Parts: sequence; structure tokens; C-alpha cells
Amino acid sequence: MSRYFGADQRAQMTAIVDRLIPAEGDHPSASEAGTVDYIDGAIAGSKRLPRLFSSGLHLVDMEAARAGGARFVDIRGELQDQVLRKIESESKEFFEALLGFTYNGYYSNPAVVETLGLDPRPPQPRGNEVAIGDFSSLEDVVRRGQAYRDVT
Amino acid sequence: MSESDERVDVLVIGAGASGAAFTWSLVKDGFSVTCLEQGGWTDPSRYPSIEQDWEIHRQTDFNPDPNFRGLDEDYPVNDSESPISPLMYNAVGGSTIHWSAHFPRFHPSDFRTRTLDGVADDWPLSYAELEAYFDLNDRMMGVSGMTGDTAYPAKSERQTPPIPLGGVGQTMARGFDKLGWHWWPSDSAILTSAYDGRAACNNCGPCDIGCTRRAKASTDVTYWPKALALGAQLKTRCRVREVSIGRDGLADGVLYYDADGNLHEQKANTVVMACNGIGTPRLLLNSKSTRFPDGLANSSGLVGRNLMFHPYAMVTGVFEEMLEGYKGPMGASIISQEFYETNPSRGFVRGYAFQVARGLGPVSTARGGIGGHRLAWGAKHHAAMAERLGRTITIAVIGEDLPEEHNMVTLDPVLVDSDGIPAPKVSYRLSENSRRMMDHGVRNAGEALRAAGARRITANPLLRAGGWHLLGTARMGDDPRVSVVKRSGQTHDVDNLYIIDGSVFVTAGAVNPTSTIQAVALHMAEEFKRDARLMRV
Ligand SMILES: Cc1cc2nc3c(=O)[nH]c(=O)nc-3n(C[C@H](O)[C@H](O)[C@H](O)COP(=O)(O)OP(=O)(O)OC[C@H]3O[C@@H](n4cnc5c(N)ncnc54)[C@H](O)[C@@H]3O)c2cc1C
Repeated sequence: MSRYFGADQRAQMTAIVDRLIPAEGDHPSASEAGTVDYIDGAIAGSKRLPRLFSSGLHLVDMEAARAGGARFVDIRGELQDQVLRKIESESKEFFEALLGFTYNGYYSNPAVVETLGLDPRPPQPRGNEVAIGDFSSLEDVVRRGQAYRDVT
Repeated sequence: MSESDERVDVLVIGAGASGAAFTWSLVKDGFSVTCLEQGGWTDPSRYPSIEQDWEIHRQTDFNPDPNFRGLDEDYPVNDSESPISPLMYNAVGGSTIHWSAHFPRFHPSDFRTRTLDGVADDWPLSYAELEAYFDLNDRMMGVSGMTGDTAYPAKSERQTPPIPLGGVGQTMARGFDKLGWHWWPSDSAILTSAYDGRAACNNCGPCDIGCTRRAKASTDVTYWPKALALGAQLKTRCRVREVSIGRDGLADGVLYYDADGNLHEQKANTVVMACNGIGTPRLLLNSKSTRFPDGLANSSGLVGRNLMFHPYAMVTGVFEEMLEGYKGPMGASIISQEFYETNPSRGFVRGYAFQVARGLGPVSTARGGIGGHRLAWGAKHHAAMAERLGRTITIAVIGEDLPEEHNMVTLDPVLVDSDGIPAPKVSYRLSENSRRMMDHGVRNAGEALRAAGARRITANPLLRAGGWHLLGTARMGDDPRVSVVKRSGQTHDVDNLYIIDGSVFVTAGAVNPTSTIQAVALHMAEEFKRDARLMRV
């Protein structure tokens, strides 16, 4: 099922994305919403990403070893956050890609969109109703007079 | 080795906003016109707004930045020496495939900055001379809006009623009203009722990923079908490498690559350039010969210089109430031109406008949208999302940058496109005047948002991904020493070479330029037809 991640990396990614977007109330966690598969597909289809992610995930485990004496998956949640914050400030390119793909995968999942109170469908073909609105205060704008300079 | 295509009369390069309008005007009056366009046709029925992952396309194949998009028909732009990245699209329709269709006109004063404010130069054209062409272009594109705007001389009836205010527009209008500031429903080239065989907008939201309903006026659905029916020839996936010069010093056609990379020689009696403010100087600078060693039509040395972008700042307010900002045409709901005209007491010359943009979908909200801050991850993430989704208003502050020769397009010494043609590099610095103007705009946008009830305000003082408007790099003027083209678009140096796109702008105004770009192109077409008729008799 995985295209890029091995079993260990998949477990590590699951732990990571669930710290980035944890479950809360109706909102599923990122991994529950299929984000690891989404990222897996994105990496497999890219030239640049495999290297970025393999070195980035390696770094995450190195930081985990330094902070908690174990692999990322084996340390406590608060420590995991601390590790991710370190990566966020020191390995910007990897972290922003990781977080960006996590947000992309999570929020393009219709089930997630529904938990936000939106219709889980693309913008078209249905479109939306939007109130035309009340333009009556334009009378005041008009009363204030010409708002451009004349040229001769 | 190159293949020779049959000689044509008028050859237009570029099928975007200006090329389409110019071509239509000529073929309507019996001229024979061929247009070469490096991109292809896009199919409106397949735009990504029908896909669940529509917001992802905005980052990838529908990214407005050609460097991120990287399609075969795109060319890269070195923007490492500019705080603003140029944005564009390369297809039939050009950048109007992506545009938000916000359609304000220049003000009369914009054509007279030297006389009125002692800066830059007056245009060799006036609002009064362009007015009939603004009107004609409005009819061709189809404009929604409301007459009576006090920021303009009276305009002709708009084709359809204004785009809906929705929660965002209504809330912001209240803010402006409280402060006693000007606002008006934006002129938009987006239909709110059926017009000219095109359907009305259904408020889906993301205009930037293409309009499946053809309600948004991209020129592939407005001018081009009409021009083709009148006999215009449009050849797609033809990328022009250079304009060639005959022994008489006149343009005698172009060299171009087809989609398979074969080189063609296309002879023409007249060459008209409509490749936008980056593509046109690039092509001129790539057209070097012994006669024109510094590039074509460049005796003034001004080809590529005086690049103007309109610096943009984005000021976002977060509101308590649900505004459903993700519904309705995204680019603009209302506009305020309270600070448009020069007022010396403000500490800068010229001015700026407020475009009240709508909100964003969930992916873009999480990622910070255009130039905003991405949402925090972790335990606070869901709360941050709930606070912002549908509850923000962004005021885009669009400022007038003045022409400065050090802001320019040159050829990059190493970068090339997929056909090996040297690619452009942009160098741009924000001037002191612009910085003061933008700071003023950011402060006042904040004040307006607070007046409208915003709880929290964040600002991006200069948007990088905001180079939507590409202007000034082959400016028009009467004096060949300080301009590249005459008011007719004819270059001072080469009698049968014309430039008709945003490159010819003398100044930038403080509004989106395309309504004015097209009015100028139509005016140039009229002068072209008149001159050609005179030549015949
Ligand atoms: C995302 C986005 C949003 C925008 N929103 C607005 C808005 O709301 N309001 C507004 O007024 N403006 C907006 N703009 C700007 C507007 O799109 C441009 O001002 C307008 O399209 C410029 O017209 P043009 O004819 O000069 O160039 P373009 O429309 O860019 O067309 C140039 C064409 O020339 C072709 N070309 C270039 N080089 C070559 C070559 N060597 N050989 C063959 N063909 C070539 C290109 O492929 C392209 O199709 C927006 C732009 C973008 C990118």
C-alpha cells in the first residue's frame, strides 16, 4: 500500500502528523484522515521530495534520541512536540514541506471539510448563494461629492 | 535548419488580454491577422474547481508563478533580486486565465502625473481620448458594477449588476461608512447575469483556477471566439525566439519554435508584440543584430527599464461573526479609493487603493493564503482554524510605484526556457516613496478593519507573491530619446514594429491595470487601422 514509506517510516510519519494535527472532538487526527498516505503519494510522485523527507525523518529520530534517548515513536507527546519545534526552527525547508503537505492532505479530505461545517464538495458545479447586500449607504458616499481630480 | 511558413500581413505575438483585443479590432475591419501564442487552449470544463483537491492545484499546475508551475510552455524568471515575484499564465487568454477580473479604470489624473504632481511623466494619451475604448472594451468583456462612483467621471451603464457584497463586503462597507471613507462596488469583468452567450457567475469562489462557467472574462472566451469567427488565424504552442530584421532595417517576421521544438521562419509585413511587461522586453532584448546590437527598438536604452509591479500589502482582520468569505468571487467585493489621489500632507506623492478581498478555503486558510501566516500546528490548531475559517477579511493595499530606471527586466546570463531561449531576470527595489505610501496604507487598512469590527489584525507589509501587474518596460512617449513607442504603439526605431501590451505604460496608477491595458490596445488598433488606410490611398 505504501509507495515510498517503509513500515518504520510510516509509523514515524503517523506519530509526527498526529502531533501536527491531533484528534479533537469531531475532528479526526491527521493520520486518521489519511494524511500519511497522501504524503506518501506526493513523495513517490516527486523528484525532489524523497531526498528531503529521508534526510528530514532521519533528523527527527536523531533529535528524539538526543532529547529522549529513543526513537521519535517511543518518546512522550510533549517531548515529541519539543523535537518538532526544534526541527521547525532548524530545518525549515523540510518542516514547512512536511506541514504544508499535512495541511494539504488533511483539508482536501471531504470528511474533514464536513467537520468544519462546510459542504464537502468542490466549488463547481454547484457554486454558492451569496447575499447581494445593502447598497443604500452609497448615498452618503455620493453626498460627500467628487473623489477624483479634474484634469484640463 | 528551419521551416518557412507562408508570409502573413499583420503578425501579433501573444494571445493574452491585449493581443486578443487588438487582433479582434483589426479583423473586424477586414485586416488579415495571424497570432502566435506559446501556450495552448485551456478547457474551461476541466478547470480544477470541479475537483475535491482544487486548492492543491493553486500550488501546483495552477500556481500563478511560472517558476513553481514549470509547464513546458512557461519560461522561468530569475526573481532573486526582486522582493516581488512576477506572476503570469501562458495560454490563449494569457494571464486572464488566472486573473481575478477586478476591473477598475485608471483615473484621469493618472495620465498627468508630471503636470499634476511633478513626478514621472505625462502620458501622450488622456482619459478623455481613451473613454470610448474603455466603453467598447467593457462591452466586449462584460462588466458588472454600478454607475455613479464618485471616484470617476460618469461611466456608461455596466453590463450586469454588481457582484454580491456578501458578509465580507457588507461588513467592510460598514467600516468605511463609519470613517466616512469612499467605497464602491468594484467593477468586475465577471457576469452576474447571462450576457453575450456566457453564463452568470455562481459565486463558487476561486476565480484564480479558471472559470468553468465562462462568467469571468478571460479573453479565450470573450475576444478570441469573435476574432476567430471573423477570420483571425491563431497558432498555438508557437514560441517566438526573436524578431528578425531585413536589410532595410524593418522587421521582416519572427523565428519561432513549435511544440516539437522545430524552428520556423514566419515572415510578416508588420509585427505586433503583446507578450506582457516581462515577455515583451525579453523578446526585444533577445532580438539582437548588427544593426540593433542592444536589442530591438532600444535606441533609448529603455527596453526593460522602468518596471512597475504595484507593491501590495495585505492586511487581514479576524472577526467574531461568520462572514462566509470563501463564497463569492475571491478577488474583490468592494474597493475604496479614499487615498487614491495625491495629498502632499501625507508625506508621499500619488496614492493607493483598498481592494477588499474575500476569504479562503480550508487548505489556503491553514497555509496562510496569499502572503499571510500559516496556522499553528499542534494542540491549538483546531481552535486557530475555527477562529479564522470564513471569519477573516483581507484588505489588499495596492500602491502606485513610480517608474525608476533601476527597476528592470534584463536577460539572465544562464537561465533558459525549454527551447533554450534566454530567460528574463527582474531587478526591483521598493522606493522610499512607495515604502511611506505602503506604511500609510497598512495603518489605514487596519483602522478600517477595526471600524468594521475586527478583533485582531495582522499585516504583510509587502507581498512577495504579488507581481500580478507587469508594466512600463517599453514606455510610450513623443520623445524617442526617453521612450520606446509612440502613442500608436509604433516603435520609434522600427516603423513596422508595434508594442501594445502593459509594457507601454508610462505610469502604473493604483488600480489593477487590465481594463486600461485593453483600452490602450484598442485605441492603438484604431490608430493602426487609420494609418494603414492612409498608406493605401
Ligand atoms: C493570478 C493573477 C491575477 C490577476 N488579477 C487581475 C485583476 O484582478 N485585474 C487586473 O486588471 N489584472 C489582473 N491580473 C493581471 C492581468 O492578467 C494582466 O494585466 C493582463 O493579462 C496583461 O495582458 P497582456 O496582454 O499584457 O499579457 P498576458 O495576458 O500575460 O499575455 C501575454 C501572452 O503572450 C504570450 N507570450 C509571451 N512570450 C511569448 C513568446 N516569446 N512567444 C509566443 N507567445 C508569447 C504568453 O504566453 C501570454 O499568453 C492578474 C494576473 C494574475 C497572474
